[in-house]
Amino acid sequence: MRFFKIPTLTPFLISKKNIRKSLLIINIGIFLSIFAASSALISLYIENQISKYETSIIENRSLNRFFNNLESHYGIYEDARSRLYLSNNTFASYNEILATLKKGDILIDDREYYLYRLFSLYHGAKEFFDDEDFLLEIDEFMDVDKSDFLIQMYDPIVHKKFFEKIKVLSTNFKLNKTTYNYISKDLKKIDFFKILEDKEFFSLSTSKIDNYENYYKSYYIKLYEINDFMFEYLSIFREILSDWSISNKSYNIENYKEVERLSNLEKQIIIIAFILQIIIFFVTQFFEISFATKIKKKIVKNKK
Amino acid sequence: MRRGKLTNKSILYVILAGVFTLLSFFLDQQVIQKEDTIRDQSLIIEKKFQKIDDENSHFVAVENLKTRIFFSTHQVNSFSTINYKIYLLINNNYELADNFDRKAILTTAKANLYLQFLIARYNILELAIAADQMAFTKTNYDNQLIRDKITKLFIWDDNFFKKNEKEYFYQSLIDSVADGTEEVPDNDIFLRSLYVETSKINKKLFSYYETLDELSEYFFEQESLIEIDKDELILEQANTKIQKNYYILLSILFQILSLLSFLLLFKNFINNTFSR
Repeated sequence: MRFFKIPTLTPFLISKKNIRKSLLIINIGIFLSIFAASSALISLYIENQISKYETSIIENRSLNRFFNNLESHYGIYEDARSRLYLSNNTFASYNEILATLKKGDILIDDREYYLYRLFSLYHGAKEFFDDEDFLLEIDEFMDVDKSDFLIQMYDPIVHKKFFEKIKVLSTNFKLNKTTYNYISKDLKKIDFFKILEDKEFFSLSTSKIDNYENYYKSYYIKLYEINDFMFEYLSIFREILSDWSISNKSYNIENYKEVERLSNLEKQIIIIAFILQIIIFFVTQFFEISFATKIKKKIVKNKK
Repeated sequence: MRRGKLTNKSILYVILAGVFTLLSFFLDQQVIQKEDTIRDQSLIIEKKFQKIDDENSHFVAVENLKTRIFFSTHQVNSFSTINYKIYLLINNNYELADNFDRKAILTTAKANLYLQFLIARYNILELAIAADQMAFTKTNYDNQLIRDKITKLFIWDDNFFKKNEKEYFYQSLIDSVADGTEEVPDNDIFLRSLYVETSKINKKLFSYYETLDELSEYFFEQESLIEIDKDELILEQANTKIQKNYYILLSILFQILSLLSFLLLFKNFINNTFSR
């Protein structure tokens, strides 16, 4: 171990006998450190490239979370909607049976037949049409003429029919919104939980109670259509989002592939750099040794 | 001097080695500081993720409560009204009565009216218990308005039940009416009250639908705001990580360059000694 102590090592390295060996060792050291430095520089450059893709991957992770959340929220909506329709159908079926009884129209008048279903459909539509922020966002999103996003996602020529469908839906959305606003003004005034007086139950039609005689049926039909339209509209919205989600996932896969490719490229460049540098090292060593030998011979000759 | 003089080249190599070593030390310190920053950021991001999950689960829980309220008020309201209407029309010998066995339809209508009241009461009680067990009611909110809304959820006046518990709402009568072995007592005022109280409970219950709607909006907004914060933090952290990587690589590079300077110094030293 004494060999590694500087006082022993120094005379060994600089002794005339070992000078060539020492130079060779130092040259190998220089070669290795230049190689390490060039590898570090290559890594620095490639890491810089990789970091751009890594940032995209991180950004996409948030977008994926958004899609997952939206999927679960849409599931809640679909579940509530199907339960509502099922319950309304059952409800309507029993009422229709009661209405067929002799003088059944007293029992099942328009108010009885439509009010509760009208109430549920009204609140179904209210969830969308009273949410101004949501309406604004979805309106901008589905506007084929203004939405850059849709043009980026779909080719206007290949997906011509799809674009036309969205256009029709967007127009209908505005019409339905107007209809809803009109109906809503009236329906807001109705107390769905109004407690009726006994005598009011004996009148031929309780429809008069809410001052909206004959409106129940027409409002019910309109609200049914609005809810149906909303379902179709949101289905398209969901389809676009699911396409977006898929393209986002494939974009993420591309990013991962790019990171992998750059990482492999880094290894290859380092190997090539090593080979090139080792060739350069041998060439310089050859010249250095032959030059040193020449000088040595010259010195020996001069001494003689 | 026994060891000889240092040449200009040697001095340059010594300076270079020193500068590179210092730079390497400086970058090592930067790496340690960046590592600390990343750890702090990770903790904050983790908390944000947790908060987002909380807000999202609150949102989903509130939405589910809303759906439950919606269906129960919708059904109970209609069933209670139609049964009271049937009772009134049959009891007052309207022509409609010819369609039915009078006694049987009256018994059924009264039982349904009675049970619909109990169902309405049970619905609000069950929802109050469900809400009480949910995380969103147990969370501390800075927003006083939200806190008030949550603490006042599903509170209602149960006086009608309490007042009539001994006479009309004792357990054995409820069980007997439910399985059809006993009739609801013939008391027009009580039957009218059943219809009125059921409507009142439903109205009260539906008012909570609107409160829950506001709460769900609040949770959704909170989630979106935290999501924005989290995204900014993640990007910030990504940048810090990139910076850290640069510092590590540059530190390695400077260490190598410092070593290289020493090797060149040594080579220069040997060459000088050899040429002498």
